[in-house]
Amino acid sequence: MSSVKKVTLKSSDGEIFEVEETVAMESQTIKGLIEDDCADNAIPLPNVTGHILSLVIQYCKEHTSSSDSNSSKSNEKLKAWDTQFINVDLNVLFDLIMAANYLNVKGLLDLTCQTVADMIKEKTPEQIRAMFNIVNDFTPEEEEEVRRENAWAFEISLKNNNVVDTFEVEESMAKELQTIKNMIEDNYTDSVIPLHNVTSDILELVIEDCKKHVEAAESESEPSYSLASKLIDDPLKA
Amino acid sequence: MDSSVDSHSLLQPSCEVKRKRSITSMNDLPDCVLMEILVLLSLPSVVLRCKWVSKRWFSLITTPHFARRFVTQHPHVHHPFSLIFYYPDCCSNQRLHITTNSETQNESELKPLAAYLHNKCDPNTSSLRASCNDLLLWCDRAEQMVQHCPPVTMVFYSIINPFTRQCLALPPRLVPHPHSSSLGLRVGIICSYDYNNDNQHSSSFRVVLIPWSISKFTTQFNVHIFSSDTGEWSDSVVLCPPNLDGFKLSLTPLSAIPYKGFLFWSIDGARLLGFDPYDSTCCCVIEKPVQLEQFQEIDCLGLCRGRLRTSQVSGYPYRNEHPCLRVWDLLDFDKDSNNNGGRAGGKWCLKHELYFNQMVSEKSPWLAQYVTRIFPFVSVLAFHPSDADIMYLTIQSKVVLCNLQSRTLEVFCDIPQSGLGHHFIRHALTFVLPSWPTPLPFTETGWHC
Repeated sequence: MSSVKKVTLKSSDGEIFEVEETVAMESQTIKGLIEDDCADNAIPLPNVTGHILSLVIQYCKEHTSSSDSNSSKSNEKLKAWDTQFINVDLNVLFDLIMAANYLNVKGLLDLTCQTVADMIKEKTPEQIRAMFNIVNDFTPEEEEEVRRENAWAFEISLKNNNVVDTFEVEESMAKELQTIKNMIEDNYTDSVIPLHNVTSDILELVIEDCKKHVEAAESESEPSYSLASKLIDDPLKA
Repeated sequence: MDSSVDSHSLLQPSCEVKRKRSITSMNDLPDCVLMEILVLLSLPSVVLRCKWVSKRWFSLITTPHFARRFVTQHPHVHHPFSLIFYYPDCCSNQRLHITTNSETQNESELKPLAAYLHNKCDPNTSSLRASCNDLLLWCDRAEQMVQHCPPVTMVFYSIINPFTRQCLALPPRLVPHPHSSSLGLRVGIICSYDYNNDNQHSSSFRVVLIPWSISKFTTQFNVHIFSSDTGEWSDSVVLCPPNLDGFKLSLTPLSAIPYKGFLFWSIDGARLLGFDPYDSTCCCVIEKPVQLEQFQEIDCLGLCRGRLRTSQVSGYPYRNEHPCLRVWDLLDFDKDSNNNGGRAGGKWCLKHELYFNQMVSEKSPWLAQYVTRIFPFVSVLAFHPSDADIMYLTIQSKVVLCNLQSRTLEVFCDIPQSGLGHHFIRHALTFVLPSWPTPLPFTETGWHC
């Protein structure tokens, strides 16, 4: 007979898990129940499915044994294990967040929240919405005002040839160039966009031209592409 | 009991326990959990981008509760700052310069801010007049109404937070003044944002205009005050502090510095006039620093580590001795003692006294040589907002960092294309980003009142 105390956990879909008490106590919620002597029978966890509960238990096992004087898990190894562990689908990640929150497992909540935060970092609002399926419920007028004031928040750099001659341009201007527009929409915005076929002076002229077109578009006239910008589009498309 | 037995086959789930097969998404997270994720991000990420994802995120981020949680999460954040000033270029046009570098901060943090201001504030038709933390007072334009007699000017001011890109136009104001130039009005802004306070008036500001007059104010003077709480301008007549024999606003249009609820302007005799825009009867004077050169005005007024700081370059250029840079901090300023005859408690304490011929430069020896020549043109630009040993000067089209402790001069940044008038650069405004950006108290539809 094992001398290690065990508790029984029951997931929302009826799966039963038997875990060592020390492992289960990684969850402050369960710890509270144990200390209040409510844990003689199986502890029902109606908010957590079996699949997620098993993952949580894995996490707790790993992190309990690391504080055990017998195991010599270094911090780096634990971090590496965490990174591997958290490499899951987005919906599993959110389930883990909800479970960690409900079960009050601080380490797991920090890990999962940081993972999501790392996904959000540096992304534009459009990208964030796309990634997490969030509906944009701002009115078109509100959006327009935000866009106008925030045009400079989304600066991108165009770099020509091998010369490090970067031009920072407003996103709306750069979108005038169809090719660059496509690159932006494919999420190139975080880096410098290289334009190998175009020299500095041509690029400067094109940017000047685009500026005028954007201004013209704002005053409701038809935007038209100049020859120079076609020069950019064509060789790059080839 | 074996823990690995899958008891699905044995246990029929009851009707109450549903098998959830729906996908959990970001939208299912409760607000408290979403907040825990968002506070892990950087300030620009949260305030410039996440705020605009959806209305739910917007309302979550714009609460004082979020600000508190964010500040707690990032306790050791530095406060990036920028010096903002105007200078004439080689074609005698006004240009705006906004510094974006520093030894410690990430340059890219301030670049969008500078880009926004450059785009918005044409230096030839408008001017940034005053600052308080991260809010700037911007005079968009001023129209002289020549047909009036006596002449009046209609002034258009806006408040800008260049970090969050909020810009709020104040109602235009008629001021009885003949000149549309900035010399005509002394202005100041004071703002406060207390995110430890959950009520609606946690963010508020006041803008004060004092029409300048060549003659002395002996008994009273007029001020125009804009209050964010009412959304309106009002006039006030303020009594001059007693026992003073009046005062004159100084010639150099240094912008007002907000300190301990007062706005301070420099007046004649190297003194300071303090005015409380929240209680317009309250006005005080701070006497000049003891070691100040006779008949000279102070060069620079600003804040450093939460203290009022002033400086003067003296013995220059018409005396035999070498120019000397002195810096004073105001100590023991006591708002309440100002009821005793209008003289506020508070004394200037000399913190640094540097002779130019003591200065050295590691990277740019020409700087050290330049300041020891017969007529060096050195102007004081600003103080470092949090480092008491550093201040900024302009020398020969460069912004120079002067370390008052180690007595060194190093080039901080270039002033591009500055023209002949480079030594007449107006004093810089200091933009400092607080731990949480100051929100402008208004909505798309109107004022929060």
